[in-house]
Amino acid sequence: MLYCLHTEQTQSPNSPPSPSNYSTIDKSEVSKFSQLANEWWSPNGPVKLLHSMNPLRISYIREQLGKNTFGVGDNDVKDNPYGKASQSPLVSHHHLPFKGLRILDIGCGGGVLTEALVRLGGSAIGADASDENIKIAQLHARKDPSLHIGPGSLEYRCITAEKLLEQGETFDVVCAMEIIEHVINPAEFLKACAGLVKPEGGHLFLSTISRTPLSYFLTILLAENLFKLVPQGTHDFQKYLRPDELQNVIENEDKYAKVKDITGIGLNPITGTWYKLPNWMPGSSDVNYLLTAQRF
Amino acid sequence: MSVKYLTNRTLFQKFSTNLNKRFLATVSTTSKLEDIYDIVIVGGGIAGSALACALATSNLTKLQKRIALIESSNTSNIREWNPLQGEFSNRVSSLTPRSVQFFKDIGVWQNINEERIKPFSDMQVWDGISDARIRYNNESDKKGPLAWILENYNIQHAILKTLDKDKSIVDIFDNTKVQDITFDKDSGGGQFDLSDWPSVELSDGRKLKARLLVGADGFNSPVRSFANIESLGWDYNSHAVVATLHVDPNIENKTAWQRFLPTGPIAMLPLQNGFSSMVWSTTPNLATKIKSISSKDFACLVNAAFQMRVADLEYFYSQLGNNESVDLQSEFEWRKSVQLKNSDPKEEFPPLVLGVQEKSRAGFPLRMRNAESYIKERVVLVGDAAHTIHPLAGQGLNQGLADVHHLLQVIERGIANGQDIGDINLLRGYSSERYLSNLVMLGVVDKLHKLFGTDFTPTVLARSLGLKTLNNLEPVKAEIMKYAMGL
Repeated sequence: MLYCLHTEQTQSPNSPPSPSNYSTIDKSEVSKFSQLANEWWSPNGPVKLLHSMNPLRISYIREQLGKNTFGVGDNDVKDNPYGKASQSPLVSHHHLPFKGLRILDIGCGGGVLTEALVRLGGSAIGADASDENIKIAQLHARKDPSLHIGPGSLEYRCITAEKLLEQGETFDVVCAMEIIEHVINPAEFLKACAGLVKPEGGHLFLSTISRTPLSYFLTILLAENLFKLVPQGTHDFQKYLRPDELQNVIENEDKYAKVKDITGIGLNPITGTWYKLPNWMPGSSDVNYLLTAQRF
Repeated sequence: MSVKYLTNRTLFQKFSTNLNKRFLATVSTTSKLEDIYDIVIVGGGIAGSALACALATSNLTKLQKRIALIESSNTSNIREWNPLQGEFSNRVSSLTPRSVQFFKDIGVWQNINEERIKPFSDMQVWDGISDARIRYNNESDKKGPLAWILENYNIQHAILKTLDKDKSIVDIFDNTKVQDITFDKDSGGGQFDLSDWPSVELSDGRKLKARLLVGADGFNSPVRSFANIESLGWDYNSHAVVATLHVDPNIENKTAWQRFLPTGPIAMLPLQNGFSSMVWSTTPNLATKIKSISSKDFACLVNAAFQMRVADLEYFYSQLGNNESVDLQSEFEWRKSVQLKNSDPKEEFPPLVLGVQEKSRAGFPLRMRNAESYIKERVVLVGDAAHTIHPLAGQGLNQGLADVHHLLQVIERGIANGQDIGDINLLRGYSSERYLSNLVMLGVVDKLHKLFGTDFTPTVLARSLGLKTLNNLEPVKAEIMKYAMGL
């Protein structure tokens, strides 16, 4: 594992980016999150907002996969408590909706999303550029035997998206949640992520923060500075991307994926839970939003 | 670079293969896989066993979750429950429509012995001092009965029968005590680290590891003590006496009656024509006497408690234990005839009590408690372990079942979202749903108890006016009943 980090560090900062060692990862960002790593799993720790957002991310992924039906749902039973007729029989109620899917969680951090993907039957690979995060994630995974006895499977790798792409890895589903706003070159990063998705139907899920006055006010002034919900310096406003910018990169520059859905989400400050915001609501994706793209 | 990388990758694969091997080896020595449970329910009372049943019915939990139910007593007498006609257990409950619906949903209701259920649609509650009365009748309402009266045995028997249908889903450890609950700080150095999973040591020597530990273990909950959760509240200076009454069989027994006496409410609930169940909350001193007097005197006393003026009733109290120098029966008849001359002849009373079922009188102290919290990491409390309520509104078990229902929903939601179901972030959903709701019910019932526990004239006048007004405000009354029915 240390070896992995070592490879990263031996890169000369002045050497021109070559295909084999070029990385979009920002070194200062890596160290910032390593400081957080010990707090990844504390229920009231600095990433508690990620924990509370996770159920919504998962249900969003379920919902989108169910809508676009790829790889899942063939052998599902109509599954719903008490056996009443289910509204959407394909994915929404089955207890293993991700069974048989190879899923990459890029920028997995402590494994908050990765573990959930495995519990729902996915063969998930959590990848993170921070060696410490990967260690934290591996240590935490020992606390739950169900992650190791199947049907899902779990693997953590200290690796970047670009390296995975170089290795020719492909996935049914690639998730890059709350990560684009932390990389140096989002366009390159997105290209790598999209390249990791299996062609002809594989899914790419993104979540990030839009660059608007409202998002500055909420995520930096309020969340970081005033209420200290997240540690100061977690976010860099200049790195935020608006949904149309993301869509533009994915559809026009890459030309091999189509954006299927953009959904704004919001935090109810009283209950501490996240909700999907309706599309008709003005500015619904002005702060946090989720995006689904499908490979051609 | 690429060579270097390859080495790196091979190392990694080797590492993970080793991890897997080591992991299986350690598991088989330290904590056996078969002793690792997703949900361990301590307490096989109605709330605990209903939860087991609900989890065994839900498609999200029954397939992949390992569930254990631990009960200290032997359940065989409940399993083989075969009641005699004309005999009823003294422990009965009133189930609200919401609780009945829940039992239907989890497949329990179809196993209930139907001949021993009494739905009622008529209720009368009155003030012992002023006789101000509130009556609620929804016989003509399509919403159905107000509540169902049935023996606790009937409920428990039906739950166990439902659970026994598919024995593979829930592991029932009955006749098994919980010796100790701890955290195993020694994670064993193996692949699993279950040091923050509660470890439940059983009297048969087994040690169960619980992803989620459910305390359904009653008022003195060991699970609550383990989780270091305080229980807040007070003891009422009163005891409840329960009994199975033999009442006039010629009267259609279809009304629930409750009279608020200054010493506490007395209630008579219909079981069947000729049989009713009584709950009488009173002072500890009187409770002792009520339990020990002859059954003939007891019948007179209950009749007096429902029909006599408070002053007359106090005379009856004073005669208890006086070597039976006074014939309570003739005293009752004489005083009743006097009372009839100067009171409203239309006033209705419960059927006359003729006797009491042998050995059916029992008593217990009354309390109000609410745990300071219902959850801790990997621990959740339901039913009496979380809250204890005065029985005057018949809400205790119904609250417990609502707890179970919500906990089931929260667990299902957690599974659907791939969460660890012991995660406190998930359990908060249960706590925020149930805590306030239970607290409000506890508060209302406690205030009712206090409001009617006085004979201070202005209070009596005010509450009587309140009752009379309420009785004429049908929409308000209907709303209150909806609340009491859990709708």
